[in-house]
Amino acid sequence: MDYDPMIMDTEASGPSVKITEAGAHNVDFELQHVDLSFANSLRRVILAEVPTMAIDLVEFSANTSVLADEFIAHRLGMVPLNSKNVDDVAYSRDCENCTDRCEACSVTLNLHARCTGDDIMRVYARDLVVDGARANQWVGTPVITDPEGLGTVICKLRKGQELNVKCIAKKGIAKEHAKWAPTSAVGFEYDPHNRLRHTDLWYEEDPAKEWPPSKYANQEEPPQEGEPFDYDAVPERFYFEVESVGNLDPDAIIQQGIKVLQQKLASVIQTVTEGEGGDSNGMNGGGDYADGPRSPDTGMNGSGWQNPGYETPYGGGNASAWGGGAGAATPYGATPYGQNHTNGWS
Amino acid sequence: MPPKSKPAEAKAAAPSEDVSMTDAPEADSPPLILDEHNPAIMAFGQQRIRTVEEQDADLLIQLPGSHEFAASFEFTKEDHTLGNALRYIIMKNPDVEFCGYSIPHPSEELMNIRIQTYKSRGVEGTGANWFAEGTPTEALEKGLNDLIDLCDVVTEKFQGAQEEYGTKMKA
Amino acid sequence: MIIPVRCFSCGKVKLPRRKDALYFMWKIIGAVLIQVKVVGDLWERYLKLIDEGIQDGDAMDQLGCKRYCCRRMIMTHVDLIEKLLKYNPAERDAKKAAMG
Repeated sequence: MDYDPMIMDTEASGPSVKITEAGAHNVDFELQHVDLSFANSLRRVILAEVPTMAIDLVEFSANTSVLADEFIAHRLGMVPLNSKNVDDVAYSRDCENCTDRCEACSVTLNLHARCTGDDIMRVYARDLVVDGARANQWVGTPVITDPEGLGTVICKLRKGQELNVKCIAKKGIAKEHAKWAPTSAVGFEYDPHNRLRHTDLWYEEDPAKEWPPSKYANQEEPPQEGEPFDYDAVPERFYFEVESVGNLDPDAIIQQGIKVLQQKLASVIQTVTEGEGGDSNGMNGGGDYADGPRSPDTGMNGSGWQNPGYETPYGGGNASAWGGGAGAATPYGATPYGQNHTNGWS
Repeated sequence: MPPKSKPAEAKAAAPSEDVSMTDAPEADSPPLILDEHNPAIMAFGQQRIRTVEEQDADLLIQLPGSHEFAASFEFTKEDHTLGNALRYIIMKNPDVEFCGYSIPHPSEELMNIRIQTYKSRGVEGTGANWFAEGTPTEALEKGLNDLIDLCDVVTEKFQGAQEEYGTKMKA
Repeated sequence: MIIPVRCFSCGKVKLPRRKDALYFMWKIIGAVLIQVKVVGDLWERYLKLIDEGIQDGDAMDQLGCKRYCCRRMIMTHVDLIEKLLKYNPAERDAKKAAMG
């Protein structure tokens, strides 16, 4: 098995990247000579799996404002927090130093405001004060980008009203909650002339006249009049527009995204190789995987897949459809390949 | 108007002999409830994968195209992000005859990959009629490693493009 | 009620690509500081621009609110909290106390 996937893809050139525009909060680039599936993986990972910081717990000591506690707690969660070098912060759920949370896995922000004047007082994101130690000097500071340096309005107070809260910011990913999203938008486009017919353009008379040309239309040759459809063509150039919320630099988002993807792969490799070592059948190839190499989920309080209260057809409870079976059923149980060897084709 | 009684104050006022209260987690720190259905936990929890591999050699002889060269892998808490890219890169492997992935149900965080490899005729007299060009497990492992390498290349290219863009801006 | 912190659809933000002198200067020094904002910090500046007689669409353009999802956040917002703030129990209690 010696071949180079990069070369095979692209006649010697390999993947390439060209940045077309970059600013403090956005980067537009063109990714070439990779497969659509990889480009899409990159997009998905940037959108949903790059870790950032956001307020996750709010403890109210006083709230006499007109907004309910949960309303304010939600607003606080949405405030973007600087997440530079979040790798220094541990995930609270698997922090080794503590059972609950500590400086290594969270940042505490305090907000105390009381209106004493007759005018309406506005509480801004800049009023959030980082309290105590944190993993590095950036992490957890509210992102403030407006010229006045105020940040977002969190609440408004009238005379005598008070807001005193302690916020705990944690590391997380947008797959769990959108407040952890590093981007406000990831533009992703390929094949501006729709030569591959991956999309059907709705039209009344002529799609070419009715649809405005794509922003990238001049990057690629338009199809010739009467040109036959190329069934073998695959998309090759992908135009990304990554726009940061402000908590991470746009280039850091992309590099982190790739890293997250690699970490996923690395952890699968680890399971694959570990399974090989311990089991002569290959990874775990028998039917006994219900009590086999499925390690209990770390830190899941012993529930996880063994939880008898939750059973799906696949879900891995011992009572599940395949947990107890002696044969080698596949998830494709109904296919010829998926039969138990006791009754299959012999 | 005095502020409403809030968790923090309630905690302070709680009688100290209330054992359950002192044992309880702090008011600002509810017990760590890990939701197994939380899609995010896969990133931190252990990656789980299991194989469904047919191993009955007899079947294999009778029905070419099945079994020893074929395996399915089930990935927990993975989705199209990994599935599609992995499928693509495994298909690039010349030993692989077929690779496909599916997500059986959208509300179960499971992703399945099926890999079938090419087989060759066994040498006569050795007993083995067929042998695999490479096992599905090897193909999977190679695919994973290739994808990591591809990621490395793209990172490198991206950094290069950044530098290029920086110098262009200065010029 | 009160201006949402983020745009409901895109998770927030707007980019002012103002062709003003400042932007031009940034461009010259090579560091293009395009400012990104959460919807939450645009509202007051938006009101200020409206007070100056600028049309709403132009005001949003100036604030870098370019996507229609973000624009609707501002365009359709009614700042009801201002009305609620008129009914302030804290102040009422103080007045009652003063009256004896």
